[in-house]
Amino acid sequence: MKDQQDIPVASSHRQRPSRSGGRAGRITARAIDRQQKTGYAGVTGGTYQPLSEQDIHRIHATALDVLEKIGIGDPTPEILEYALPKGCLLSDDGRLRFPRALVEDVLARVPKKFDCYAPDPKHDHQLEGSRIYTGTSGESVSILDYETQQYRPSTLTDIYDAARLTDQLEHIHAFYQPFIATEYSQALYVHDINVAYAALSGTSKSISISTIHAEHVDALVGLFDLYVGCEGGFIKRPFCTIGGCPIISPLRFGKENTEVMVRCAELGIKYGNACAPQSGATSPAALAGTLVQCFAESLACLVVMHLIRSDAKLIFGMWPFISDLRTGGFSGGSGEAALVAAAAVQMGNYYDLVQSIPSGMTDSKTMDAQAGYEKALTTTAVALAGGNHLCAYPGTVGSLMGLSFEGMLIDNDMLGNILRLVRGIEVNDETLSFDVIQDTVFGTGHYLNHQQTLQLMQSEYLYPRLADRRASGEWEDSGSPDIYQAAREKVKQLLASHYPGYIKPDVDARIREKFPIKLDPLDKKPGNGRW
Amino acid sequence: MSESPNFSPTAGTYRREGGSAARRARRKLSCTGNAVQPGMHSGSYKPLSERDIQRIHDTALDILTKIGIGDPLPEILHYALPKGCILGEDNRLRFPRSLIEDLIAISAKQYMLYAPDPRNDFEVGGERVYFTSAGEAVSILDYDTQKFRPTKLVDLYDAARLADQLEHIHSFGQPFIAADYSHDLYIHDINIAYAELAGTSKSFALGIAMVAHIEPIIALFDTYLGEEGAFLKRPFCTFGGCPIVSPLRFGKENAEVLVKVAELGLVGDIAVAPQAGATAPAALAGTLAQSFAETLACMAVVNLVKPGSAINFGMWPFISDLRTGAFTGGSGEEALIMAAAAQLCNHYGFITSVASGMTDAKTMDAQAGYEKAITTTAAALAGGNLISTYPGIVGSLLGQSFEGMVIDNDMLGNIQRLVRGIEVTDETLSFSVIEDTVFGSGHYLNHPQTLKLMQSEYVYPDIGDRRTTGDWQDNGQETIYQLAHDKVKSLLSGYYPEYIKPDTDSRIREHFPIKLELEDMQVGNGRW
Amino acid sequence: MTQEVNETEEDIILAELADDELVEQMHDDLYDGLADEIAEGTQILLDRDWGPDKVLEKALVSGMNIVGVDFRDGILFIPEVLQTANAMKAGMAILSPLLAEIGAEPVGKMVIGTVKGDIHDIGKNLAGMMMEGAGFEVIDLGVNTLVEDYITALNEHKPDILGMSALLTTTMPYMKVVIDELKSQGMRDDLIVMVGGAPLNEEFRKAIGADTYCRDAATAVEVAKKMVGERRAIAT
Repeated sequence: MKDQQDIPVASSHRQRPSRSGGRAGRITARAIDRQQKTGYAGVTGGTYQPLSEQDIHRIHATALDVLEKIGIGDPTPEILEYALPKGCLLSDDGRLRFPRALVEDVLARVPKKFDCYAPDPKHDHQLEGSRIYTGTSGESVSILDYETQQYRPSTLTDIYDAARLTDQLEHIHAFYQPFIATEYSQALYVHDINVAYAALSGTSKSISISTIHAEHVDALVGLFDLYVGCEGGFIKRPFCTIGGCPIISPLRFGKENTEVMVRCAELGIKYGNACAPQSGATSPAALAGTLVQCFAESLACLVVMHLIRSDAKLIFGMWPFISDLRTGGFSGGSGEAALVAAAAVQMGNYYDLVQSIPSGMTDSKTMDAQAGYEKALTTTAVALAGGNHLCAYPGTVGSLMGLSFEGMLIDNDMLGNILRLVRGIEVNDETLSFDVIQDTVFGTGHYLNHQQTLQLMQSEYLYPRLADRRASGEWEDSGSPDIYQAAREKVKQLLASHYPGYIKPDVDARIREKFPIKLDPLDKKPGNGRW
Repeated sequence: MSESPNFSPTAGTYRREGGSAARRARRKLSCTGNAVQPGMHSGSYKPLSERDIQRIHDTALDILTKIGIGDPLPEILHYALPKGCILGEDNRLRFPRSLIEDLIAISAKQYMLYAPDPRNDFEVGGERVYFTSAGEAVSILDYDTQKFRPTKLVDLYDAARLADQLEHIHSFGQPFIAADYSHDLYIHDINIAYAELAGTSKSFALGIAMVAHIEPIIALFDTYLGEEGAFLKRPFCTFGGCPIVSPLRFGKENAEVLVKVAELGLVGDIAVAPQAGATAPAALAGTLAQSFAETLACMAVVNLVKPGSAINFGMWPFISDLRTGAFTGGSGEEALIMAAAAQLCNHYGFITSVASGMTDAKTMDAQAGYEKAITTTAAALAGGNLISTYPGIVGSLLGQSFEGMVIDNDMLGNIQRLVRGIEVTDETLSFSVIEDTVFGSGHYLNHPQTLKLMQSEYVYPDIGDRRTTGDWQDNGQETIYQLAHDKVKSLLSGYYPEYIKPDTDSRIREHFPIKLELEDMQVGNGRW
Repeated sequence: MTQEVNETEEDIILAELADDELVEQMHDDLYDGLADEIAEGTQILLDRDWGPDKVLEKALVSGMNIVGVDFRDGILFIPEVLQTANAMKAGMAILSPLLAEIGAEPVGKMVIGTVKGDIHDIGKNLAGMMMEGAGFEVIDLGVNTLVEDYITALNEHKPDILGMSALLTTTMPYMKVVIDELKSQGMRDDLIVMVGGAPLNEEFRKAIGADTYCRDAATAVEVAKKMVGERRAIAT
């Protein structure tokens, strides 16, 4: 289907194998091969399309009706300043209504692709079409402790550790702030600065910070400029996205988040909106109705950003959520969540928008079979649908309440499997293998040591890090561990050793001089007693 | 997309509905079947392009024409040679291209799968999705010891009783053998038939490798029905196996069964499972071509025996872990190639049988969860008609976990909800509902639409945990595996359906060596 | 990647290497699965008056030990291990007759076959190739093997080990038929009976009276080496 790969022609006569340097050569080669596994970043989805074209048009038309006739409530003065001159109407009920033509016009004009930079350029990627990159995400408040199975408040060092873990997991391509540092939740300036500092200390992948204060955006830019080493340096390669929820469903602007969005548009910083109406509670119980409202709310953000600055970069975030109507609680792991998110992806792709989409928001409280299947079925659906920035919530459990470090590792393998699925099957003369089949049927009778097998064994197949593929007897002999146990050991190993020096000592000193950095230097070295 | 829920114009007007008692009764009925139902239309995931499909098809036909299938049995030659198939000096049977194309055209495109209880009958066809159990496992994963122990006949009876109570397992394919009788295949086969009949009223399948056992089993079913010849009129059981040994050879015993089943006019239930990199090419496209050719050969055989025969087109390409050469059922490659197989077979109108849920995890942990979900989601969205979802099977098809069946049942419900899709109509688009709410209460929780849809738009899991974290912490912090264990006990300790009436049972026991003890088939047997 | 390595290493002339270097190069060549080079190296060492037992031990078996370690550690994949086994076989083809001449004890001999009714032979093939890789002489009876065929082959080849495989749950009971026949012919104690196949397990092994059940080909090699060694220790 796609030709991402050249498969050497399998010859019908047996080629003479050649020297490849014996053991030393092979070990080197295999290490390189492992690194190349990250080649799954940016695979193209879109083969799953839950909506018909007519469905899309109808949802679109209704969303435009909603924006024109119902509008969005509580517009901030900043928004009005930009929106009213362009033809938006403020009515007596205080709601801002968007003319149809304006919305259509914006949809046609917004940038259809943009770069997602990372502190280390090797992790840069381009968001476009239905290419997929995965990331952490969230606003959790706790960590699920492996030993006690208790949820404890998350801290700043946890953010640093989660960043370090992400840094080592090949199928998680970006580190979007997964939880807050609860000890600083009363001091938001300290909080936001330190979250950014902890993320930058732990990973060289693209990062994202959630803040609810517009002035913190400027402060963060200052911090990033120090990190980069020159004023204005960050804005040339903005490796950090700012995220938030500018809409309070149904159909109102939320003041603080909206101000942040406006400020990001003014500065030219990428902003990710998460419009997360909850079906049956803050959006209609009919899934189609939830899509309509969610699309309208996200379009409002898109229009506002664009009116402020025509090259503003919004990661279009339709995040339709599902309620469990027995209790009214949020249910992130349901089939409905998978379905409505996949449909949202298809909407975004239809209009060629760069978009984010959530998945993996299991309702299970621990990393058990339920967590596994809920994360997998939601992520599989949205990945096949082709959501660009896939906020897969690796390791997040309890309906977004907490993070399990072990879960991040388990989900890394799961994401690898899903990305492999999305990559698809390359169909061409070589891969169709008629000659190989003929060789084998009239030859050895099996393919295990056919040249084609040797050539493809690594490129065609993904080998998980952690997933158990041993014989059952071997598993029993090792004490019948489940994957959670196995992940625990591996997490300790990964976090006890990886203390990257992404912030150089002199830079660090300059940062600490200007900003109230709370992350203890001792916590950034081995022997800190955490792992 | 499909049918829209029925919106009553009187929505929002309240009437007396009989209070708590009536509501309890109604909820019990409707909680389980409103939002999803067996056989929903699918196929919105298409991993292959039209051109890919054409090329795989062409290569498969090249394989059948030029390489052929080895070791054809006399029975197959008897039917095939007069129709233009060619037996080479290399003892390989080659199928002319045009013959295969003709047989594809006449092969049955939809048919009934009957069940002992007609309410569980269903018709397969199109891109409608049904879930079934399946397998040839040999062990049970013991919950307490976390060790695998050999299966017993009574386990099969228990698995049937469990599947009978799990709404998202639509048919019961024999998931494992009865290892305690594996030394005597006649006793084994008769008894698995009896155990399944005793435990479930859903459509079921038997893996039978000896053609000679089919007629005695049919006689057993006739005894059950009380009339000779009755079974063949409404065959509620399919017989199957693996008639192909990859690459591209017939396997004698299973192929004999295939021919016999076609002669009797029964549905052939086959699984053609070449393993990429071992018994099929390492290139996934090549494995698709070979397994399509192998499955087409089986389809050709039954249609040569009897034109228009029904066959579950079981194209089951398997994946190897090439580090060790072992089968890996839970990989992303497995999800991908099965979904591609489903799409390919649906393209030609076959009744697509594919497999999913074949996790490599040894226990019902997060790995089992995600591997089962990825593979099943892909197969279901691609529109596999009969998906052997291997509920509760772990260890790369090696062992059965009863708890896993209950966990997977919830997963299957979720996946069906995904398959159902979103109905987009004037009502569901909800403009006026949104308008009402924005200018009204500001939330939807008690909007008439919400009341109307809360059960038909949403699936509620049976044991899936959706409590708050605090609630969970205060109540023992159980995993879903623990919750499932309790559920299995409660489902199996009290449910002993009397599908075989006592007098019928004595007649069966008179004629057949039934080994399942009657005391094991009632409350108080000490197992649960 | 391999291309670059080739350019630097293609010029190696084995005959010009000193003994130590040659042995080391043969370890690499075994690792890379080069059958011709191994045959050539084996012959060179013999021509330098190395005894066949010394060539076997120093050049081949110790080379294959490295392969075993890296297979276990996931560095080498099974298709590569089979290439190394093929190279080993090329060396053994030269050494086996010479070992017999000097009365040196061969690594071991195995008769292997998939049982009656079963023609799923991928596991059996894998085990056979891996055994050859470890220096065993392997007589492969193929698939659908009847008890008479096993007996005939055992009488003809006098192996240390009889290996039987089955994939189908319906064919595995035939292993017991074979073992019972061995008993009744008084041959059972002369053999190590090894069984394998996906549906088998330790309980089944006990029930049919086999000596060992091997869950995979690599285990089979390890167990075979160990059991043949033990048996010989008792015999002497």
